[in-house]
Amino acid sequence: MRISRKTVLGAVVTAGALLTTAACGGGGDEAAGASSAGTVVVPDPGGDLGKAMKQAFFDPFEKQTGIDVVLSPGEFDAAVVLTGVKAGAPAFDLVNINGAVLQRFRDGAALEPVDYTLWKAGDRDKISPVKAADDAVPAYYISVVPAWSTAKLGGQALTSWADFWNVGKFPGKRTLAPGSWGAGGATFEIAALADGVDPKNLYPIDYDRVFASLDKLKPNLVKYWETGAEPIQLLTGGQVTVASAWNGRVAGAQDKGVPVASTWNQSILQYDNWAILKGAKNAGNAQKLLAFMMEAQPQAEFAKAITYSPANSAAFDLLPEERAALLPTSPKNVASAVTQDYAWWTSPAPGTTKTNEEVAIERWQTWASK
Amino acid sequence: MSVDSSQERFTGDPASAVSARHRPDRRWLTLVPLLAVLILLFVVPLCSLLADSFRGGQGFTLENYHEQVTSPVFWRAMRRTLVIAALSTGICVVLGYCMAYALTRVPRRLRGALMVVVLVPYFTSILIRSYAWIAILAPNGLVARTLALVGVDNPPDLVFNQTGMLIGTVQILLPLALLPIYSVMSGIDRAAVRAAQSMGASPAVAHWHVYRPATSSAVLASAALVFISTLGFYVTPALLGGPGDTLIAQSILVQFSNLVDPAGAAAQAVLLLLIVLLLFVVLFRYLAPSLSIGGTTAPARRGSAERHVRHERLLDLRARVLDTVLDVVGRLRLPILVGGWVVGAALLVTPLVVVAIWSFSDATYLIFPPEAYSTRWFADYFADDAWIDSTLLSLGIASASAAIGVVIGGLGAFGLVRGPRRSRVPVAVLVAMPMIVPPMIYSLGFFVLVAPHGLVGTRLGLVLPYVVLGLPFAVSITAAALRNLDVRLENAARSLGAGPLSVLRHVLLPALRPALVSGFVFAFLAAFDDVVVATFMSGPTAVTLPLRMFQDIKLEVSPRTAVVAVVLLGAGVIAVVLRFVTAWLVRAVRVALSRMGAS
Repeated sequence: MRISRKTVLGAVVTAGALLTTAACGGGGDEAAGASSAGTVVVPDPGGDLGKAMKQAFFDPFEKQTGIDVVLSPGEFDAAVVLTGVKAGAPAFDLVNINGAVLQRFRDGAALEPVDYTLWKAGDRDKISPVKAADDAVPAYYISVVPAWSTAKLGGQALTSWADFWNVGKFPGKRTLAPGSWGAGGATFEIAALADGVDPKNLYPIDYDRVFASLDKLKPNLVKYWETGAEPIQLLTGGQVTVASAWNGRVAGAQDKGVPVASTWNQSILQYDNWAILKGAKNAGNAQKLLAFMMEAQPQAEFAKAITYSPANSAAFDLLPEERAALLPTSPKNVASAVTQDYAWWTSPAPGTTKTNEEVAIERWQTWASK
Repeated sequence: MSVDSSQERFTGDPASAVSARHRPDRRWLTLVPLLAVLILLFVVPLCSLLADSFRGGQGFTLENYHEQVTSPVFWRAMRRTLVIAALSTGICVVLGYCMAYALTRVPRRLRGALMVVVLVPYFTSILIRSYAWIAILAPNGLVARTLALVGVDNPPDLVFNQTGMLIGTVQILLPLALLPIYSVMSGIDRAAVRAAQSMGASPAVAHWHVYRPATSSAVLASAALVFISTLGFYVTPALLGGPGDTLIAQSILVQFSNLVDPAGAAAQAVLLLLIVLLLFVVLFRYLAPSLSIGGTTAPARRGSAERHVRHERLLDLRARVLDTVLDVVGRLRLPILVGGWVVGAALLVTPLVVVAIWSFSDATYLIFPPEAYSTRWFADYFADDAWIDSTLLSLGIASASAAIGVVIGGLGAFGLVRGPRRSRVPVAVLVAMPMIVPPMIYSLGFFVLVAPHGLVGTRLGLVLPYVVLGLPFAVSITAAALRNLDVRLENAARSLGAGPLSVLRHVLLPALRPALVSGFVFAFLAAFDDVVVATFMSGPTAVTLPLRMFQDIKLEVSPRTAVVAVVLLGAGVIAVVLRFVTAWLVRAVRVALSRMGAS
């Protein structure tokens, strides 16, 4: 009995002690601002992308300016970040926002204008194929590509999204990104292309055709992937044979010796934007970091570290040809690519107060929950 | 402490208290800290969000509700969620009951080891556990390969459908069903069962009529815990379910994140809340009397004599069926108990075994079985300060919030059970709220409220919401144990001159210890396992371990997260071993000292 009482009392004392530590440690977040040249807080995308950014952008920037780049691995959820901005406490200074999500930040007046006076002369004009805007700059290009397990398919290679649907010729289970991401996983475009829609007439998306196309694939669709790493994991684990995946993920897996392959044919080109959040504590440093990142040299270094295309087209002059061939916007690859039309996705749907993306998500939810 | 002085007026039946002593019963005061915490940290943030759900372009609107109620998507997700929740509750409670009962009948030493088995799933991220399930259940997985060995070529589809969802959910929630039942069972005196048996009742009959009623409140509590927890599940169903198996939590998340419609998400959450509350009211109404707990039994309905006879016959039939079933169960009780443990342990441990093997994998992806082994992911973990910092941060935050939760929740449970009758239902509903409200919604409300005050990214900012999330566990488990504790024990102690502190020390704490411990464990785990709150409240200098694991495996499905499981498990084993060693040392020294004294 005595021991039990001691244990309980001990637990209470420990709890008190822990609480005190916890409460005292509460002010720890200010410590980040200790460095003399200040800091800039950026979300850490992690994985290969995070490593590439650190190597090409953040480390050289720190060395050159003495400004500390703090990588915050908080979940980058647009809704959460927007809430933070509205509450007057943005979690980050500089963020990379998906092309389709950018409009929400604009609608919420959540972005600072980009200070182009800090940029090297001529850099702004080199940003292409998508132009730099007043409040956002394209960050890099990635592609959604058809990928498959070479362990399962042997020498067979897919050449289109129609092949993705062709279970007779390429037997095995499939996985796609959920359409509840809207433009995110390019699933609407993929289903339309698979059904034979001409890439030129992709927009406006023909929902009836898209869902009829998806209905055909559904018996062979194992699940929708939830993270960029998942399609590769499902291909590796043998749960699926063919998957839609981001080109960087496929290349990363190939580097690690995973038996996967992909095609550039009908690859769907997407891009992220760099933008500075309204009310950012270190907005000045964020402007400097942005100007540095968009210079041709760091852009080329970035494309050497990961197979995402640089936004500054001058970087291609600094890249060896074999590397350029692995990038989504290199001349050969981009010829057969379809660029996702974010302008259409974010514009209001006819006859409603919603955007095309919101309508698409709602229609997807109705279809998928059947 | 003002709370303790309240017990000075400690008397017997609350109804007779006022008249008997002319002193007001102040046991309700123990409810004050609980209510204060819940109102300040839970109700206030939620109300601000609730207000949002009625907000449209021009002031007040019901449009958000109208849109959800008329949406077939919402109802399909709701129906699927309720079915999955009911099924997993049933499986968890039956398995948990068998396993808890078996636990009380095994030798003490074995109990410790079995307890580790029960808690093992909590040692790693929900994400990697789900990947482990895929490796086990997929068509080329462990189960299928084992079945192929014994000649079954066409195994059933076990994953990427509702079966997979159910298996993953049961694994996560089984401990939640087991521990509250166990904490009550371990306090039951078996003398009454033996007495019934000595008077001729078969073991199963004695169990049904004597033992079971004493556990019914715990069964109900754990059923409620499991049911409600399932409603908020997101990650497991998303990874193990098939295309289109959307549950309501996913639907709310899509509404919030993808459609950026917090008002619609809040409306869905409110509707979910209403449906669950309604369900509980109905269930409680019909279940409570038959489980012989709670209010009085409904008075027999008057009807015609014929109906009465039919009713009698029905009762008679029911009794005979019950007897037959009990007889069968009684004969099979050993296989049932052992079988329950085998199934339960397999569910709990198998994914962790897979995870443990992965941690020694040399590959950068999760392939099972791994093609080559190495300890490079361990080196990776220990060399990375960020991972070590997160581990320590999470341990500290979870302990602090669980400790606060147990103290406040324990007091609150006392006030709830021994306090005024009228307050019971409202307080119980309020306490259950943090579990019913999807964490996504609550975190959002809390975040919006505290973000301007600089609490985001601080330890305090993480501890406060975790206290709230841990409270339902602490309160409901302690309250279940208290309900089974005869109030006359406390009264007897009082009448023999014990002060309120003495009653607490010598009567309540010893009797409630298992419940308080399991309350602490669950409050701890609620915080230690959470990703959602951390998503909102973490900052660059305070990243919790689950969030780091979640991020890591989301970006790169590598064995790194598997290492965390093995490290935590190793730390747990070392702590247990150390405890045994110190206990043995103390005993040895004591024996040696007493011998020296004797000589």
